[in-house]
Amino acid sequence: MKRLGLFQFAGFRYAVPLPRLLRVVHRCRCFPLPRLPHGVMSVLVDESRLVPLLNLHELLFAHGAAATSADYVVLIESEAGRIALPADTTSRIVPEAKGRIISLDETDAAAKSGEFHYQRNRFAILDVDNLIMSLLQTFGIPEVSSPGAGGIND
Amino acid sequence: MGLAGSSAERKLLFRLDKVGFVLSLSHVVEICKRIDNDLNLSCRDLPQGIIGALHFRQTRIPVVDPTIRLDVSSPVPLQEKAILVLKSAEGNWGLLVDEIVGIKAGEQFDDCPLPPLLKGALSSYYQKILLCEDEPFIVFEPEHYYGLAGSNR
Repeated sequence: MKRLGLFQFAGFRYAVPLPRLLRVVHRCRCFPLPRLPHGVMSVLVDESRLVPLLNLHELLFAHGAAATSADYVVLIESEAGRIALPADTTSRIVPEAKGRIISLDETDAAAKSGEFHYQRNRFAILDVDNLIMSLLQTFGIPEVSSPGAGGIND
Repeated sequence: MGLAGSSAERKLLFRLDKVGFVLSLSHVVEICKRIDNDLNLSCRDLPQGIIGALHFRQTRIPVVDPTIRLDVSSPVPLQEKAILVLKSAEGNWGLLVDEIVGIKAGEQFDDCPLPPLLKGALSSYYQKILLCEDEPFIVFEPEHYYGLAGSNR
């Protein structure tokens, strides 16, 4: 049975397939580093390795209105290694069968693979690897064009 | 996770704002915890990161502010900062830091590679990070801030 991890950040709802979502950490200690690239808020230490905490809002909406910290971090395994995403409400894990998956057409967001409709709410299903790819493409470019991806607002 | 360097090598920890750095104690000639009136700010070369000259042992040595190169915003007033006098092939020079954290034995650190995602973006500024009590400390490489290698950056 496929399951999705659900979380919210800055008023938007997101879903990550469970094999990629490792765990959620509450009040994680985050550390600033100099010269972090656009889209990276800070780093945290998990199992003796550094994990970049991505500025999800800035990456998806290409502006700097995102928070600089979060109550929770969602640890995710990607093709480019472990990453962390900020979350400001308690996450839940739900079976896909409890809701409805809506596929997106090709014109939709690169970092979003679909939508999960669950209990009258819509969650953007994050395509983590595409999100990382778009991040790598923006390194060194101060003005990033929006990948067109978005969470689903309240 | 391998031990970082020789366990006999002691390391000095310092901070710029909230960012931790670690430096081999073998580079350090002296720690000046009070700047007082020994720092002359009229001799500066900001493109090289030099913010003044320190009167040190009957001579004047350049003082480098690493926050310029690293783009770190320091909240500490100049008079409350410390200067590490470091040795190099070109002679002694001063490194301006916000806070001296302390000295620890090399065996208290673990290697911690930069994440693949960050390696490309950060490697021109620093290449190595060590963990001490689950806190990352950037390995400070003095040659990138002063001397022939630093002047070519």
